[in-house]
Amino acid sequence: MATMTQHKIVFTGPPGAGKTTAIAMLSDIPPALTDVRNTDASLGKEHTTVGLDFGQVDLGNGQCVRLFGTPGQLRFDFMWRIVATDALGLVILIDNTRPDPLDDFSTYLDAYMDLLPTINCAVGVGRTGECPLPTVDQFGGLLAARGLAFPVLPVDVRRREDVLMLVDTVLIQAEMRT
Amino acid sequence: MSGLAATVSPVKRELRLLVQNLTGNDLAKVGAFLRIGRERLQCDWHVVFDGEFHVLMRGTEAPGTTDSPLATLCVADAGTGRHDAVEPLSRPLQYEALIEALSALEDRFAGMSAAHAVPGGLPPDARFRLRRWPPAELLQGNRERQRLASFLLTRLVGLDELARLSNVGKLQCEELLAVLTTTGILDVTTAAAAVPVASAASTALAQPATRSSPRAVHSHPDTGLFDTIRRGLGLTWQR
Repeated sequence: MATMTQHKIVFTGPPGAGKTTAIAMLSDIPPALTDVRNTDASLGKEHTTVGLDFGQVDLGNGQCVRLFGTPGQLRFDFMWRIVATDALGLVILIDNTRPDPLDDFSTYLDAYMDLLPTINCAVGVGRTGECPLPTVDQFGGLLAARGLAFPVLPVDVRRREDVLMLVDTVLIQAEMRT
Repeated sequence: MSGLAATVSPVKRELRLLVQNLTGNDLAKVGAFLRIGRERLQCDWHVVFDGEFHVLMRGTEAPGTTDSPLATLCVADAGTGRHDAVEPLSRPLQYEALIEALSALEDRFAGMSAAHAVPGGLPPDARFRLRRWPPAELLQGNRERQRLASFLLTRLVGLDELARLSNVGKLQCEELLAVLTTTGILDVTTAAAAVPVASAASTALAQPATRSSPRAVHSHPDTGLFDTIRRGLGLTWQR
């Protein structure tokens, strides 16, 4: 039986950043979701992910890209790095309407600290229309202060082309390293 | 003699004005105004209908048009309002308005060129690498620029290679590089020097392309794979 070659792209970020939506935008199978009714009023949403979201893009010839979304809540942080290990790319999504988006970003940079120097990564900042501050340049500055350089793009994860752009910038980095 | 004076050329710089969805009347006026205004303009403007360009001039009736990463002039019937992210010109086109708009663009381009970190322009054998993601103001939300910046993030890359890998016109690549050299976040390395000549500081990110990158430890897929993935995702940038 032929072995399927799999490539993994991981979407991570705080609750409500749009990881589930981003995966649904790209997956060509109905995404497998692990959303449950949210009991944490501070998240401000009806459902939240407690396991892994999963989607897949079939490339033909026995190849596929698997899309994973990590649970956003901090109590699941033990899963974040496990999921991202050996990934082709990591997309960090940030919700700019949360109380302290830069602090959220720092949390994820800390969590992936040992992977970031070697992984292909892009940062998508959502809801910048509702909350223009902090600016995407501030997120870029935070990366630069840590000696990191990744694309930082304003995104609306409900727009497929925005999600594709993030993935494309990840692919570009991977391509440049081959 | 100053270094700057040494780079001044007696030949006017050529700028290409791509026209799209303009009326016959608009086109005739643009041609005539450029001829009449030749003495007032610092650059030699050429109207083109396809291919690479510096400035896009389009009618408002052009849905789906990709605006220029550098400048777009939008020609609209008077009273139809201003369009975001483009510089408007009203119909009927007026000589003064067009020449002033082009002059302003020339100043913008001249500002970019004057601020080049490498006097006389980009060396032919130069390779470039970004030390950080550029300010949003420079990328202007333009997908081509965002892609180009992504190519420049990972390792040193030359102009020709950048154009080939990104499938973006060499002219657009060159213009972005010119803009980026003004920001102090672009390392420029020549083959002869093998050291950054426009770097404010060396960082761990700035390594020669010939050195194997530790960032490649996670995946070593062949380059054909990326086109396959892009096709699978429906990305239209593939070569």
